[in-house]
Amino acid sequence: MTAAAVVPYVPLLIILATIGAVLVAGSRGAGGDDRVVTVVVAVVGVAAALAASVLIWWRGPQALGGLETDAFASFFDVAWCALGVFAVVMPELPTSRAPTERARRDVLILAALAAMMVAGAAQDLVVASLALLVTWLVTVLLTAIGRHRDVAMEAAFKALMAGAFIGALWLYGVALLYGVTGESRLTTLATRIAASSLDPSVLVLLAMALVVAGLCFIVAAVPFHFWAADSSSGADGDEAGFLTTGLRLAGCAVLMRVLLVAFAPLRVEWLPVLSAIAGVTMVVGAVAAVSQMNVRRLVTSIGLTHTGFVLVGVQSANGTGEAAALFALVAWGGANAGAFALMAAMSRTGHRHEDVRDFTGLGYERPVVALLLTICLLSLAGVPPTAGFAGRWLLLSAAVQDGMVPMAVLAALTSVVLTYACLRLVVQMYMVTSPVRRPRPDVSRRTVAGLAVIVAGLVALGVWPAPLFDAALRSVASVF
Amino acid sequence: MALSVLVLLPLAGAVGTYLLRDRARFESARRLALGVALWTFVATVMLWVSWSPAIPGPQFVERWPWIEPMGVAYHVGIDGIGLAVLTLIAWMGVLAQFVSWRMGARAPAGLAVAMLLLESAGMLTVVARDLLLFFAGAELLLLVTFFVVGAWGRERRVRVATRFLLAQMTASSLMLTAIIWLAWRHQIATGVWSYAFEDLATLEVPIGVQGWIWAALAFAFVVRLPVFPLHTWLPDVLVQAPMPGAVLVGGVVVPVGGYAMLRVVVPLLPVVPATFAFWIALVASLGVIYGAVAALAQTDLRRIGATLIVSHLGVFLIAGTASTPAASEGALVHLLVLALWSGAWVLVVGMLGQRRQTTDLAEFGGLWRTMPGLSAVFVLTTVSALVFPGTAAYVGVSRMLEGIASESSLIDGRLFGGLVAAGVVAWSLCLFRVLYRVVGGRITRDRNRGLRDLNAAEWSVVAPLVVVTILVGVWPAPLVWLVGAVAPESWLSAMAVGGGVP
Repeated sequence: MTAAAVVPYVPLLIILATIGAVLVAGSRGAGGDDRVVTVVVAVVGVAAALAASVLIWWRGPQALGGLETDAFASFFDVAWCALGVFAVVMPELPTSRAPTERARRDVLILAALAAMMVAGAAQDLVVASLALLVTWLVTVLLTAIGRHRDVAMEAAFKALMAGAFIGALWLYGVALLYGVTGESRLTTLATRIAASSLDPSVLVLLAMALVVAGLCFIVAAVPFHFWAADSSSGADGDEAGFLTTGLRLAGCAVLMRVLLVAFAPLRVEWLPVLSAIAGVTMVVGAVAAVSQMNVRRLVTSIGLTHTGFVLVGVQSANGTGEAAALFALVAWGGANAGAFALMAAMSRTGHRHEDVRDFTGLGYERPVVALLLTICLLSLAGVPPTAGFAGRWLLLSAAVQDGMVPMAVLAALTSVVLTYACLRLVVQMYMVTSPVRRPRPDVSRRTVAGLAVIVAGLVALGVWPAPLFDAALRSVASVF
Repeated sequence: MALSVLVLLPLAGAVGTYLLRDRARFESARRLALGVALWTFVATVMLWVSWSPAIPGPQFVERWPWIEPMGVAYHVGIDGIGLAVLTLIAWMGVLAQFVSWRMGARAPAGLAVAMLLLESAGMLTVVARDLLLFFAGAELLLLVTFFVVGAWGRERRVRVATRFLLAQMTASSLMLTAIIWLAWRHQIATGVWSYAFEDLATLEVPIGVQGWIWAALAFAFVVRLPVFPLHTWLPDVLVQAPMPGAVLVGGVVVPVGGYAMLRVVVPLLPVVPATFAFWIALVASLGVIYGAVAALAQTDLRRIGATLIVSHLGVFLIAGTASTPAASEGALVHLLVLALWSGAWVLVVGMLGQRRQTTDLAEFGGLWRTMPGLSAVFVLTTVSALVFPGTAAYVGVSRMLEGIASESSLIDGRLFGGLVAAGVVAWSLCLFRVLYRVVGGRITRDRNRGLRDLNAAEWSVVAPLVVVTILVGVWPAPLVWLVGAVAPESWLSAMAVGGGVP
C-alpha cells in the first residue's frame, strides 16, 4: 500500500484522531476554560476533515483500496463535516452541564460522522450496512442522553427496539444475497445479478426487499418512519437536528448506491415498490404535518415529505435525477438543521417553545430570530428564492424527464400541502395576536450568527443554484 | 442593465428599510421606503425616454446564463405595454407607501418592507423572458401578498390570506409541472433544455398531451386572474387587506397576473378546439352577470368594488379567448384601466372608511353637503367605471364587446356579446345606486355631518389617479396606440384560442 492509497481515508482518519483528542481533553475534567478546549478541538478536527474532503472531491475519484472514496462519497463527506461543525459549534458552551457530558456528546457526534463517512464510501454491501447500523446506533445514544430523561429514554428505547427488529431482517437480507450470489461487492453483485436478470430468483428478490426495507428504515420512509418523530422530539434540540439530517443523508447515500449500482439490473422489479413508497411517504408526511402541534414533530414530518421527494429523484435514473436528489438533500439538510437549531435555542432556558402556539408573536418580539426561522421554513416549503425551490424544481424536472408525470404532479400537489404546513409557524409568528405574553429566552449572538450563515447559504443556493448543481452532477457522474 | 436596476432598486430599498426597522428610527425607515418607491417610479419614467416605439419586440434585453445544464437563463426584456404595466406598478408602489404612512401599529417598518418586496417581485414577473424566472417572480409576488394581507389585514386576515395562498399555490404547482414538461419537450426536440419564451411558444406539442397542458395552464390562468367560479379569493383579499395592501392587490397583483397570463401563458397554450372556447366564454359571461348581480346585492363599498372587478375580469377572459385583434387590444387596455380604477376605488373608499370607521353603504348619504371635495372624487371614480362614451371603462369594454360579437370562430359570439352587454348594464345600475346612496340624497346619519374634507396630502394621492382616469376616457388614443403599436400580429394571433398558431 503506497502513501497515495491512504489519501482517501484522510478525512476519516482526522475524525478518528479528533475523537481521541476530544476524549483526552474531556477527561482532564476540571472546570474553568478547559470546557472550551474540547469544543475547540472538535471544531478544528471536523473543519480539517471538511477541508480534506473538499480537496479529495476536487481531485476526482480515488478508487484505491477496499473502501473507496469517489466524488460521490466526498460530496457527502463535505456535507457531513459541515453538519458536524454546525452541530459542535451551535450549542451553548457547557455551563449547566458538566464538561465531561459535553465531551461525551461531542464524541458521539464525531463517531456518527466517522460511521457516516464509512457508509458513504463503502463499495461493499456488508460494510455499508454495518456502517449505517453503527451510525444509527450512535444516533440512538445521542437521543438517549437528552436532558429530559424520561422522554429521551423512551424515544431511544423505541428506536432501539424497532431498529433491532428491522436491522436483523436487513442483515438477513445481506446474508441471503451473499449466499445466493457469493458476492457482496456492489459492482460485482450487479454483474452477478445481471447475468441471471431474465429470471431473478425468488431469493434474490426477497433479499433485495429486506435490504431496501432496512435502508427505508434508516431514511425514515413510510412505513418505517415511526421512530423519526419520537427520536427528534426525545433528543435535545441540537442533537435532534444533527441526527435527523445526518442519518437521512447517510441513508440516502447508501440507498442510492445500493439501488443504482448493485440492484440496477433489477430496476424493473424495485421501481414500482419505490414509487409507491415515495408517493405514500410524501403524502403521509405532508398530511401529518398539517395537524401536528409539536414543532419538532412538525419539522420531522416535513422532512418525511422531503424523503419522498428525494426518492422520486432516485427513481428517475437519468443523471439529472441523482444530481437533483443530492441537491435537494443538501437544501433540505441545511434548512432542517437550521430550523432545529433555532428551536433548540428557543427552548434552552425558561419557557420551552415546543408547541406551535408558543411561537405566537415571535416576529415582533424577536424579529431577527423569527426572520431566520421563516427563511428556513420557506426553504422547506420550496418557495423561491430559496434552495428548497431549486431542489423541488430539479426533482420535478428529473421526474418529468423520466416520463413519471403523474409522480411529478403528485409531488407538486403535495408541495402545496407542505407549504401550508410550513407556513403554520410563520402564521403564528407574524399574523396571530395573542393576549398571553410568553417569556422569550435570549438567543446568543453566536447562535444567530451560525444560523445566519445557514440562511445566507439557503438564499444564495436559491438565487444561484448552478455551482452546487454542477458539483452534484460531477459527483454523480463518477458513480452511476 | 436598466431592467435589473428596476427590479433591484425596490429590493435594496426593502433591505435598507429592514435595517432601519427599530421604533426609534421609524420615521427615517418610512421616508426611505417612500423615497425608494418614488425613485423607482422616476426610473420607469426614464425608461420611457429611452424606449423606442419603432423597434418591434422586447427592448432593454439582458441575458445571462443562470443554470446552464437545465437551460435556465436570467433573461429580461420589455415592450411598450409591459413598460406601461411597470409604470403602473411603480405608481401603485408610491401610492401604497404614501397611504401606509399613518398606519403602523404592529411592525413599524415591516409593511413598508413587504410592499417594496411586492413591487420588486411584480417588476420581475413582468420583465422576465425566461419561464422559470417568470415563475419564481410570480411565486414571490404571491408569497409577499400573503404576508401583506395576513400580517397587516383586518379581522379575518389569516384565514383569507391562507386561502389565497393555497389556491394560488395549487394553480402554480400544476403550472410548474406543465412548464417543466414543455422545457423537457424542447430538450427532446433540440437536445437542450430551454425555458425561453420564444423557444417554448413555438414548440410542437403532441396531440394526446395538449389537453393536459392546456388544462394545467388554463387552470392557473383562471385562478390567478381570477374568474368566476374560482374568484372567491379576490373579494375576500381586497376586503381584508390593509388599505395600502388593497391598493397593491388591485393595482399590481391582479394586472400583473392578467398581463403575465395574456403574454406568457396564453401563447404557450396549444391550439384548442372551438368548443373549448365556447365553454370558457359561456362560463366567463355567466361570471360577468354573476358579478354584476352580486355587486347589486352587496352593501359594503369595499366588497362592491371587488365584486365588480371580478365581473370586469370575466369580460377580459372572453376577450382573451376571442381571436380578433380588437378584442385582445381591448383586453390589454381594459386591464390597465381596471388597475387604475381599482387603485382609485380602494383609496377613495379607504378615505371614507377612515372618516367613518365603516364602509357600509347604509351608513352614508348626503356627503355632497359636508365633503364636496371627496364627494367629487368619489363621483368621478364611480362614473369612470360606468360604460359610457367618454369614460375610461368604455375604451376597453367597447373594443372587447366589438371583438367578441364579431368573432367568427367563437360559436355564438353575438350571444356572448349580448350577455356581456347585459352585465355591463347591471354594473351601471349598481354604480348609480352606490352614487345615490353615498353622495346624493339627504344626510341620514348625524355622524356624517362634521366630516373633514380632503386635505392636501390626500388630494396629492388621489388627484393624479382621477386625472389620468378621466384622460384615458376622453382621449384614449395614446393608450390604444401603445397597445396596437407594440402588439405585433404574431402574439395577437398566438393568443387566439380558436384561431391558429403561426
